[in-house]
Amino acid sequence: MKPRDDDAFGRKLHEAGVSVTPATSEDLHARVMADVRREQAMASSSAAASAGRARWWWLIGTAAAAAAVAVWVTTSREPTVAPPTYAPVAQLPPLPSIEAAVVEKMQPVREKLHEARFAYLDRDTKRLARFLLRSVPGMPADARPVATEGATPSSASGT
Amino acid sequence: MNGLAPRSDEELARDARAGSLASFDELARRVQGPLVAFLARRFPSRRDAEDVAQEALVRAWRALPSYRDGMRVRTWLFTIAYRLAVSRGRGEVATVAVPPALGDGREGPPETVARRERGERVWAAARAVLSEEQVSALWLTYVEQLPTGEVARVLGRSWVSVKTMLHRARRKLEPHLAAEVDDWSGATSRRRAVTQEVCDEAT
Repeated sequence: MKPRDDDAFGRKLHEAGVSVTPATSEDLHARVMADVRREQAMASSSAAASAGRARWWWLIGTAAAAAAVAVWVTTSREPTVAPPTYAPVAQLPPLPSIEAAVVEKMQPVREKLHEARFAYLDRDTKRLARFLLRSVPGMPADARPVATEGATPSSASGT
Repeated sequence: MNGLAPRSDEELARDARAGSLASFDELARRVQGPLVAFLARRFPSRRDAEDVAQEALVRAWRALPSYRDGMRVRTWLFTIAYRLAVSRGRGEVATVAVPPALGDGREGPPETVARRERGERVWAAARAVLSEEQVSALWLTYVEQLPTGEVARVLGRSWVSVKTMLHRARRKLEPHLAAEVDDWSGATSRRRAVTQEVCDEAT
């Protein structure tokens, strides 16, 4: 943060700081660079050593893995599987046929439907007979059959 | 310089990170003085300040792979130095007197020597009345002219806390340095001269 022009206090602090900042000390610089060079040399030698160690570890690891695979291949056997044993299954009772049951259940309905199929013909025949009887001259009006007078279409078609 | 513009600290740090010892040499040469001066606020013995600066620079060399582009090198170096100084513990009890060990042997003209002594008095007074952290914040702000955010990074504080610290430090230090500042601006000497003239006339 650069002190503002009107900040006399900040400017004086800056000037005071600059005035007490020492010039570069060649002695200190030489010590720093000597340390840095030593660090660099140590780092490069340790890097080389660690590379060598890494190579050895890689070789040892590879050899161990190869040995493990060899041991596994030579010692492992095919797993022995027991032959299957067949257990006799008890004879089950015959199940009733669903189709036969349905046919049996539906038979009465089927017959009724069959009988009712031509029921309208009976009704029409009766009406025709009644009409013919009425139209014969001399035939009394109450000659029509009593049983058929109150017959409804549903009852007539029923049987 | 062979007509070439001098390389910035950041460029030197990048080259040093890439393995250039010459670049680090140049960088260390540039920042050595400011680092020693900064550390001298905590360690009145010049020898101690130089030792810590040396260790900070060697650590910086070691830590160069962690230096990221875009980071201000001085902030990074001052952070390393500050943490090292803190870990070294508090320095000797500061006194307002000028520590004689701080002179770096460059006597120079009397004007320069006088300015240096005044500078030492100012910062010794700051050390006497402020905490070490406040002195560090003032130094980084006014001498190194780092932005408040960078100062906060060096001190491991928040921006707001550094702002507050600077405000309090200034308020506390200003009364102690008022005479010194006046003296620097020549006001005191002018006042003295006027007073002398008045006394002479009276007699």
